[in-house]
Amino acid sequence: MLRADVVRLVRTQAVAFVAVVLVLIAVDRTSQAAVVLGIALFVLQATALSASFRGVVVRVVHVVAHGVGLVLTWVLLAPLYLLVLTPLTLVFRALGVSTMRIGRTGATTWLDRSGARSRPGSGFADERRAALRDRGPRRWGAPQVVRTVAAVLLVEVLVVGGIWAFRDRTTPEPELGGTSSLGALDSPALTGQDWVPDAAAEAGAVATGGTYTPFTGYSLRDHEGEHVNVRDRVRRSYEPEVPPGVEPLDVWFFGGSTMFGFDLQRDQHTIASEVVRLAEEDGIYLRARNYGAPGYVNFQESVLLAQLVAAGERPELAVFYDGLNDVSLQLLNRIGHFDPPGEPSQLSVDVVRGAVADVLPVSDQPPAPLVASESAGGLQQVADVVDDVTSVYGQGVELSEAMGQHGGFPVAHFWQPDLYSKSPLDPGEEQLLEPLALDLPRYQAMSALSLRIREALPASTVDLSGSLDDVDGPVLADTVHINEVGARAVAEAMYAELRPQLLELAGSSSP
Amino acid sequence: VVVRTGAQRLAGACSLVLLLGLGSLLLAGCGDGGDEAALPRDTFEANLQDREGLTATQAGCVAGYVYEAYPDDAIRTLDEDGLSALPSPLWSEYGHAMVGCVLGDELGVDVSPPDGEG
Repeated sequence: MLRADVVRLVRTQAVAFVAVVLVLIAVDRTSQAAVVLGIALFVLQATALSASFRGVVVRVVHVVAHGVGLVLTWVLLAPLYLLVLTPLTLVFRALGVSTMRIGRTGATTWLDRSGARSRPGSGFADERRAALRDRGPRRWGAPQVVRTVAAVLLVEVLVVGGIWAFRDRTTPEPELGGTSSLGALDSPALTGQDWVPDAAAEAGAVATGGTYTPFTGYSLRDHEGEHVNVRDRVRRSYEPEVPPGVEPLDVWFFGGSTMFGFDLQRDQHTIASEVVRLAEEDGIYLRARNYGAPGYVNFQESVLLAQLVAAGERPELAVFYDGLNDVSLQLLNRIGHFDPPGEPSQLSVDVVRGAVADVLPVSDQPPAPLVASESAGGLQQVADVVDDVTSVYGQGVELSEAMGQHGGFPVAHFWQPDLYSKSPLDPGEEQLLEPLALDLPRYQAMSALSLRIREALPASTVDLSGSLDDVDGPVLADTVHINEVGARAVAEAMYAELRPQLLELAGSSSP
Repeated sequence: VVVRTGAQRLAGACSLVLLLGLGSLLLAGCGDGGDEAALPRDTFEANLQDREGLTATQAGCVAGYVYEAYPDDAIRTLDEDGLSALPSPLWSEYGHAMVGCVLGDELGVDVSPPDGEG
């Protein structure tokens, strides 16, 4: 028959082992849980049967308990001492209050053991400050009060600052920018302009303030700022002074973050704004709606246009500006297997799918192909990638053109320049290559792939990939995002293509 | 007879749990689920060939870039759970390596990782 204290020890051990095993199972460490279970059986039997083993267990537990107590004392009491006791003491000193002093009248909560400083019955010693008995409350002048307050503040700032610094070191906050790669805001294309930090914060707020939307996947929400404004999913554009009696042409601009003007252009200097400004110089007055949104690919934009047309809205002209997002999406589907390749999809589909699967009883895996394909699905041949990109892009072009025919407005499609197409790169752009994981061979491969895709674009798409080649200085902040100088250059190339159509729509004659 | 107070007994029980927990963590680190353990490069390359249909040369080229740039746990995650399990800032390294190493010949570019392997 086991003694009661042995039973208690075994029971405590059993509970502890069960807790550990459950935790290991919960974190999907089943093999470790099995090992711990085996150890538990051995330890419990040994504890029950061997007095010497019990002695070892008790001694080990005692040592660990002592260590835990020591650590907890420091962890819990050090902040209490620094954050509460030290400031309180300083404040009390400033006010002339001493809890250790016996008052003039002798009224005190301390027990008077004067004359017999023997060991008190309680665990506390008589630590009254008898030397203060006859002194009245100290009257501090202003300098002492100021010093004390300063000392209190200093202690608090040091302690709280230390905690913050530790927290910042251990849990770094993600950089709040737009949608570019990390570090784009420090790129040569964006440095030296004092509005960039504020505009970047606004762009970041817009990007992170977006929300899931059926069919298009993601939409921007309203935002008011100094440099970045969004209302009804449209980014504010430059508005020309329209002469009386002239009705401006409604031109809708669709695209991803580059059309929006992420990272970074101000409202008045996006590609859409610059096209409006260029048209104004020609006496053509445009009312732009910039529907650019981060991460959008052409097919999403075409669906958005379809939604607008279905809702009865009509532009005079719809302009699409795409490229790298469409290529990236299809490459990710080949390389990362996020979705069946060669199908319309959206960037971050894996994130959305995972989030839905977290809360609903559905799979987080991609669907089967929409159209049966003999393609292996992985990255095998250049032609596969070219076909994925151009066929899905072509479907979007076809959809938007159908909407244009249905609504009675023309549609224009442009392919954007990027780091792979710009030639030559400015030295300030060359330094982007390494942080973007592009050594020379891989950069050349990506550039060659980019060229192969551009060569296979639908005939109606205007390739603007050379529009940045003659611009002085760095304009690319990362793989594809451009500064305001770059936006002006793209707008000039775009406007040159649109001008005949706009002149015709405006009923004007070319000067 | 040593009389232990309730607090002492509680501290003892907590310490036992802590002791066992630490032991379990050590076991976990040594066990098959240890995330920090490096995945052998030949295993990574073999899995790339099986899963992605790459040749040995292509897999060696990709692995050269991956093992140069990624920490051990990221390599294991990439191998076991795929690209989507990695943080998106890490995608470029692997993605560009795949394009360069797999399509490089066809694109007329000689791509090889920094250490010259592959």
